[in-house]
Amino acid sequence: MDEIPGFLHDGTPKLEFRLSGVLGEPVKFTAIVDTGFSGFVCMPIMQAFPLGLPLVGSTTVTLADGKSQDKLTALGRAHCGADVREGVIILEPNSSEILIGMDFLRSFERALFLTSASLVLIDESEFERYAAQAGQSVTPKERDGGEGNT
Amino acid sequence: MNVVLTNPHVIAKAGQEIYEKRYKAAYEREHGGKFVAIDVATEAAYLAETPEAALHAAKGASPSGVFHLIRIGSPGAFRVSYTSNGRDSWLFA
Repeated sequence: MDEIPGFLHDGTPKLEFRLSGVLGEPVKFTAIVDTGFSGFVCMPIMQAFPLGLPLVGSTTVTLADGKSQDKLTALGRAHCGADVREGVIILEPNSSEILIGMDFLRSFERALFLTSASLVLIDESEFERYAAQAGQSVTPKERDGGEGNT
Repeated sequence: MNVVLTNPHVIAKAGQEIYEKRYKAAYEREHGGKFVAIDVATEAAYLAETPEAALHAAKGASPSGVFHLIRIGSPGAFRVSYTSNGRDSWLFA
């Protein structure tokens, strides 16, 4: 599996990926890689409309200050390198930024490497191989440990 | 219940009420950390390990259904650290 290069913009880790719904070809977006976001993709609702993402309902998200907000949800197909994964798209009424979160990395089975100058997503099995060579154990996969530990 | 797919607060309120009335006690005992999609029209629940699997199962059973996604045992299905100033106004009243 190929490495997926990202970049830093004003110190913020970003990545290009493509997203498609039921209409037309996948569209390229630049997203912030946000490890404090436990979901798949979060995007402004106005940018989601042209994609024809099928709306499915709602969910509740917990903000960093502990408050909760209800959001509309859709299903979308993310394209990253040669791979495609379906996931839950959280639709934001006000934001201008697109976020990809931990469910994105989990779904694509990618490990995130971040330095002061760049970032790259590599195949998780590659990371496990490096860790084994370095004599490090890789902890078993688990879903995140709940709220408030970002 | 006939819920219009425009206002997330209305869908979430309906879904949460169904969840608490019918599923919460048993699910929190047996399925903590999993995801459940609640069909707000039929009150059916679709349980899975991941959010996309729960919604996929729900859409498969009811393609035109409206669903509220819950992470069992958590106040929110997802955590968000970076958001639009915490504002919460919607295009649809």
